Amino acid sequence: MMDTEKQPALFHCSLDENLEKVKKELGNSTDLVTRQVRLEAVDQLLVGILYTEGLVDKNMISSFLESLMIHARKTVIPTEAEREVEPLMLMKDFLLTMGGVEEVYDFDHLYDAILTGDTVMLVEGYTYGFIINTKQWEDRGVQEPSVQTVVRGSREAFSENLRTNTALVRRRINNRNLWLETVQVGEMTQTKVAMMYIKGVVQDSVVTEVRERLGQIKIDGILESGNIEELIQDHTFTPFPTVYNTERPDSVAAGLLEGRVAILVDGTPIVLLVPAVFVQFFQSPEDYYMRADFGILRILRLISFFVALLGPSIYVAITTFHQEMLQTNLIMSIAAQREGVPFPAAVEAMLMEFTFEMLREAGVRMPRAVGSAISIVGALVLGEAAVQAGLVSPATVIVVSITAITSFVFPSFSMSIPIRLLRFGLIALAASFGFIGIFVGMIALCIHLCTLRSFGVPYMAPLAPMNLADQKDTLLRIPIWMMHTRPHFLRQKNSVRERKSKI
Amino acid sequence: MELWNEAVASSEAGEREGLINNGHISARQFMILVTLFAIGDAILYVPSLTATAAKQDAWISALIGWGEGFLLTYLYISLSMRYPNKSIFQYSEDILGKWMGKVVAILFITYFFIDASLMLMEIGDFVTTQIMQETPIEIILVLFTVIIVMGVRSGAEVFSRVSELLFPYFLLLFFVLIVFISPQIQIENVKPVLAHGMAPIFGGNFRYMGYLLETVILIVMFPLVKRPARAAKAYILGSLFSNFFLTMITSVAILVLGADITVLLAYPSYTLAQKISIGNFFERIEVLMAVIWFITLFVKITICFYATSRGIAYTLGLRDYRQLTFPLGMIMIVVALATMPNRPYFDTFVSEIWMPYSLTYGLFLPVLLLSVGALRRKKTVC
Repeated sequence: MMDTEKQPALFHCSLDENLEKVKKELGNSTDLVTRQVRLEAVDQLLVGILYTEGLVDKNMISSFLESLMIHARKTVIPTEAEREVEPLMLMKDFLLTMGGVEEVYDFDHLYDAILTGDTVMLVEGYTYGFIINTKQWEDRGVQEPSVQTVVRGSREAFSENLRTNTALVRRRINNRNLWLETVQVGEMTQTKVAMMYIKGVVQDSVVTEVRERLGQIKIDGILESGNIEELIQDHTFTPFPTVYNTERPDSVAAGLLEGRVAILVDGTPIVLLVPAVFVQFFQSPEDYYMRADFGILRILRLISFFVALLGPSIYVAITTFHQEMLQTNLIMSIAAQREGVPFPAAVEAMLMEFTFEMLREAGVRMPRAVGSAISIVGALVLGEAAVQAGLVSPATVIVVSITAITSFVFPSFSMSIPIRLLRFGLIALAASFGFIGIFVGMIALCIHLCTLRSFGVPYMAPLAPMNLADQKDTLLRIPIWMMHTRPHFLRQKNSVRERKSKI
Repeated sequence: MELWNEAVASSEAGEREGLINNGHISARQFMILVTLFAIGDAILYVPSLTATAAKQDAWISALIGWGEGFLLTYLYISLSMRYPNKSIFQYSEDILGKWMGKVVAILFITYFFIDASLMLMEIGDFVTTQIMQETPIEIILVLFTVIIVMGVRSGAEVFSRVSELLFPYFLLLFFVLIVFISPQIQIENVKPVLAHGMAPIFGGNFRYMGYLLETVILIVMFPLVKRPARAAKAYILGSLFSNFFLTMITSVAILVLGADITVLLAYPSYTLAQKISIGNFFERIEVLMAVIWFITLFVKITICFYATSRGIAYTLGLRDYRQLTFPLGMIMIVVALATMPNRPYFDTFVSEIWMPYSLTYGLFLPVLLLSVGALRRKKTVC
């Protein structure tokens, strides 16, 4: 399959030989169904039908067979003298009652078709056949989002079926300018990857760039959009996500309207949006559905970002180097708590953070049935008992718990991963150099963030480079009737999104 | 909006031109760079330096600085506007001929580099005397050199963005400092006004000007802005903004601490932050306030270091200045340790030598370049 130069293998005249070849090349796989039917009405043609069980719509198959074997007799078919075209073309015009029918001339296309759920019809004595669209397989259906939940807003989430997903987006944007391109990625898996964008809004160079980057992928398989994300992102080594992902069709629709490109991958409910910027990960779809004052919550999320990133390191810095910063009573009480603790604050904080990360990981992986056991162990044994045993101080437990809670504040889970990682580095810096270390670490982080780009857009836009007009939807969200333009940093072709729409 | 388009266009241009030409910056970014640069280490030293001569009238010395800052910036702008999109290393050769031009360029480079090393040492000295007395100064120097080299290596475009990102935090902390300390202001501290006439005021202003003269280093950043006219405006605005902040901190230091104490202190701004006490809870937050001058110093050293490495790369005809940053960073640490054997030495250096030294590069050489350039141009016309 790697060799694209190879001549395509064409069909034989003999139906039996063709069927045998298919069976042999598919290793006599037991889910392959072959069937031969003789058509009385059309010149006694011998017809072979191939499909893969489980990938096809059973009702469609039976109605197809019905039309061949029963209706063919009743249909008025022009006599041999009247017709000038081949009988096979007649069949296509008169007998095949299905929606999509195409011709197929070689084995490669035949395999593609039957393995993706289409049915192939071959006829004795002809070197071509038909592909009949009968795709239909079991899927989960459209369910509620499980990760990005909102109080107010749509309750639909993407599912694993690419067609369902594109339909969910199309249902939200009924516009002929919503374009869809599909490519197959993965030499083995032949996974369908679809790009969606709104022509006339999106910047063409971004579309071209996405298309090129998708085209460059040469890999055996794509199993999730995360594979695509890693392969097309701008910077290989960064903990920060430079591609946005969501399971919500309304988020995707909003992104498309702003001039982004959505990348949908067959077999996963997670859809990618590019270009992505840093502040995007602090925005929830709900910000736009609630009244504008709800947008103030973004400031809360920003504060949580800093607490989640710096909480333990500030605690370590203060207790180790800058005790004078706290009020006397407070520092006395912290010092009293720490009196019997054998570890320095940094080790204590590292231990607790590490324990918490392990609990979190265990919580995701463990079987449902043992869940309650873990939470008892986590909360009681590691929290209560560790404090009572004098291994950690209560203040550390409080700091670590606050950090843990704040790291779940972001609407996007992918942003909490870099924070979890960088937290440990900052604790180490704080333990060695106090606030100076934290400052140096944060500057290094700023430099790193400012070098990042996502499909040509600076990652820290619209904060740096600063754009005043785009501040309307960055740290706050101003009322919708004042949001006249799309975010400029995406450099759309058409940046006006609203004319005066309020009395 | 226009500024934005410019920035976008410039970033694209920067990417195309790759490593050799290091991209462009927007006028807004340039303004922020000028502001943070000119505040630089001055925010730490200016109150006591001006108060040494001018006593309680130090704030008047700083006010005069507004005019001087404007005039000096005007000089740098007229020089840069004469040769748009050319760096000072290039046009000094155009003006003075290849060899004299190279000599001037090398002189400038030494000035940039010594300034960078001095400021690195200032950070080291500040941290080891005020915050972490037991940490060896070398470690602090290495720590800061690492982020400076990192900033310079990532290019002018990126560290302009970093300063743009840090600017709001600088503003926030600065105004928190001013607002929180304001209850302790005593108007008596500035009285009597003009008790000793104008002479001491100019004495104080003389030292203040030493810091204004350093803004000549931004001449290296000037051609990175695509439209010179906008850059000129940003240069002037940035210089005025920085004078505003410096005047503010000088006045507040005098108003709160009094002239006599301000003179004695090594870091009056830091002492100001130490004195903050709101409701017995917001106390001793000086370490947080120190972030103000860590930010400005970081920006200033980064620009000096960038100017040095660009200058050396140009003079030696290297394609990329980045390969110079690691060795230069190591040399900077050594030079920093060598330039400042002890604190009294440094104090004498700053108050006695730095001003005339800066005058050579901030006033004399630019005037020379400008006048010779003007004469030459006339000659060619005739």
